[in-house]
Amino acid sequence: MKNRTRKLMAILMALAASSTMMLASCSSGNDSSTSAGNSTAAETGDTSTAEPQGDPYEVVMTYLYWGTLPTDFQMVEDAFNEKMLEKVNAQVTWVPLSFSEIGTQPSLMVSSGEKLDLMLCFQQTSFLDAVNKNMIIELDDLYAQYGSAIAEDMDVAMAGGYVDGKLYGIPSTRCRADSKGIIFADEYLNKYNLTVEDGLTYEDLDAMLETIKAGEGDAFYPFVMSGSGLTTFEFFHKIDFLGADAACGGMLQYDDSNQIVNVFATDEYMEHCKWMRKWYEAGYINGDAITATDSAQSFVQNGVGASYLLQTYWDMEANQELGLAMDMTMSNLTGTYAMTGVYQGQSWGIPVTCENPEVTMQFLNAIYEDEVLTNMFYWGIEGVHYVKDSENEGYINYPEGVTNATSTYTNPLGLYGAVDKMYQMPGIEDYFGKMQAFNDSITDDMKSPYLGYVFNTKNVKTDYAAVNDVLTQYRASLESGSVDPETVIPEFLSALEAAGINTIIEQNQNDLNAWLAEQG
Amino acid sequence: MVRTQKKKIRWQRFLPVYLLALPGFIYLIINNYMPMFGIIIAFKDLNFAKGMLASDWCGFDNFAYLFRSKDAWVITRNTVCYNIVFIILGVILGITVAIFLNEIRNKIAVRFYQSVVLIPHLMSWVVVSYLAYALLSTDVGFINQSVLKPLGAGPVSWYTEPGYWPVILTIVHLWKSIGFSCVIYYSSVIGISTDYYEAATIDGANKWQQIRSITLPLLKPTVITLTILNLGRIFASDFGLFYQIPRNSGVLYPTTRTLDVYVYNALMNNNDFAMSSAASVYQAVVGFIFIMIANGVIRKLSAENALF
Repeated sequence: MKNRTRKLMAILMALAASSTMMLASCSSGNDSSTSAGNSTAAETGDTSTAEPQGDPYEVVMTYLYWGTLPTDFQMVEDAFNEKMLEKVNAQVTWVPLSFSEIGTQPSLMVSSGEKLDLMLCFQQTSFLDAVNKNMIIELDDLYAQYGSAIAEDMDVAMAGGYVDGKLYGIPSTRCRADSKGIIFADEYLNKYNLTVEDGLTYEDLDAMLETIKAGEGDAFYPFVMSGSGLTTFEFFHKIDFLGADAACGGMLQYDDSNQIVNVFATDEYMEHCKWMRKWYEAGYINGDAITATDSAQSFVQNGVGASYLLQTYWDMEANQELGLAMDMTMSNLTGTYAMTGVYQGQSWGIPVTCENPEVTMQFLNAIYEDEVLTNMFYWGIEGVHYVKDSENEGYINYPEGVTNATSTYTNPLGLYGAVDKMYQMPGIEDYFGKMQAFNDSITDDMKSPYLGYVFNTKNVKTDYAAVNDVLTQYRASLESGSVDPETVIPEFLSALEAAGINTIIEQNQNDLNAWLAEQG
Repeated sequence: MVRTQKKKIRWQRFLPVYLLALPGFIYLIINNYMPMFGIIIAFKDLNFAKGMLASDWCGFDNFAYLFRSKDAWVITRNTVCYNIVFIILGVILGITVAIFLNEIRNKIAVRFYQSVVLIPHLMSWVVVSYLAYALLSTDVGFINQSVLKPLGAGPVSWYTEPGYWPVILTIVHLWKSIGFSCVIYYSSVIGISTDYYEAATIDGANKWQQIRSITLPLLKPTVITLTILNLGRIFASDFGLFYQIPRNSGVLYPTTRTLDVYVYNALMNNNDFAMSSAASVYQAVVGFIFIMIANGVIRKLSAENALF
């Protein structure tokens, strides 16, 4: 016994000694980062107290950035504060978060009681999660009282912020309707005399891909896709997921049946996967689709691909052309639609720990109201980071001697305020006119009869987690044609059923029926 | 009386050593023991308005999704079976390579080979993942293009065929880890006195007889220590190996997914703290059971080598 205790001690000692070494080697790095964090907090704290005008409320908000934090982050934050004080008696502290942190950091801040007044819910799942865990508060009253600019600006898109009939999030989107489809590089269209129009069928695409493949040879893939989480089905069919996702069923058509179905059990799904399988086996689709980590765009840019799937929002073609520096033509395959899902994605919520939701709401409203504030997030300070184009309203350019690469402030995520008032760099002519024309072209028959209905997965969360897990296992390989649908779809469906998809759909159907009854 | 005195002296003699370990103990408690309090999240219906402690208890609800499909069984099986195979093959190959190295007489050559087998150990899993991809990629992979094609065989879609992966993962693991484990065995092998070998040579023993009767028996303590240390981690898998090498291809899950990968995916997909910590608790509990069993078996077989 004694012998054994001694041995245990020896092991513990060894562990302890080795962890001390690790501690020593890590500590220097930790120190510097924490002290840096403290100093920025202290600085911003100083600026807010130094303001003479009463006692401005300090709004702490998440600030999402892409890549590295812009050099002039602090400078823009100070300028933003100055401008904000003119409108609302509030000061801001931005909490910079990278993409890898945005999902978890805000909830950690709320649960640990750290001050946070405005948080970005970056995806519908994290938004719903925040609502169901009571992490963010109801906004109906605040919105009615202080949200006039938001209402004017977001309009129909406000549908994305509701859960169980109550408003929890303020969406930030410029989409008023959306569509999905495919885009081709003109180079190959011209070479093989092909034309692209909206609403191409599988047969049309099959013929086009065959021609391109025959002409370009073995190591060329006319239809490229990539990623272990890729999906293709919803790019070919207009599917209303009713404010939730594929795990909760959906509707392939806007009809009057009000019947939610398991989209993976439909004939359309089988047909779709068969086409994908055919294209995969014929070498139209890249064989490494589900394991490739390069984007589909990069395949086309490198001259080994001709087309890929994308959202076909009105300015996407021009966007892709600018990004790839190639001429492109896109085809809207699903038709334009306006359904709840279009407006979900990013929304602003007010955490339960916020001490002054009234001022926070006024603050948020001010960002939607004032295009200077909106654009400050995106482009920085006028005269320093950008100059206005005197001839074209709404267009800007970099100041003399500054380029995209040397600019010290830009945050091209567009998540803040009235994103349709965002200034444009030269590239797309008559941007604002075209946007207006698109918004005006949205007709009532594009609108889903279930617009505004959002399915809450709260009561079926075990089934939902299990079904999602099955989806990650099967969807990408089926929808890229990597596996044979005839044998795999039956297996997929039985796995979905075992995981509980029918329970979810049943719940969804009940909720929808109740919602419809309420709408009258 | 004499004994207690002796004990006292020894305790005093070792006191500085214990003091030296004190910061490490404190670190262990703060870093490894205090977070265990978070286990309660797995049994809570998390509600931020009420706070973590005041949230309602929900029993085993958070665990339910793990056992909804066959996932729990598959990931448990994968984690344990891979580790068993890795331990057995790791010992055999590690000793083999160590003995080979020992037989090389040219000093420079020994250094060279030692470095070569160790290099994979120093590579990051992401780099290894791309190396594997360069070999296995369907369109441009070396095996499909330069091995199977000249042989007249059709290309194999490696990343959609779960059947191949137990072999692929085992090879990749051994390739990466063998350098490090053979260094440990090698240091034991060169520590064996040359007197034994000289005596054996005089008695007319050939190389194989020398290895079997001298080298292997003297390596036994090292083997047992290393095996026990590995057994302690039998329910923890190398996340890099199982996540990066199969490139998170869903089709391969039946043979590549282990608990760590599952927990990671669950957290990324669901963003649900309670369910993720439920999976971690499951891992911890089953891991604990395995260590107890392994230690119990070793205690039966050779009590002095048991961990506790």
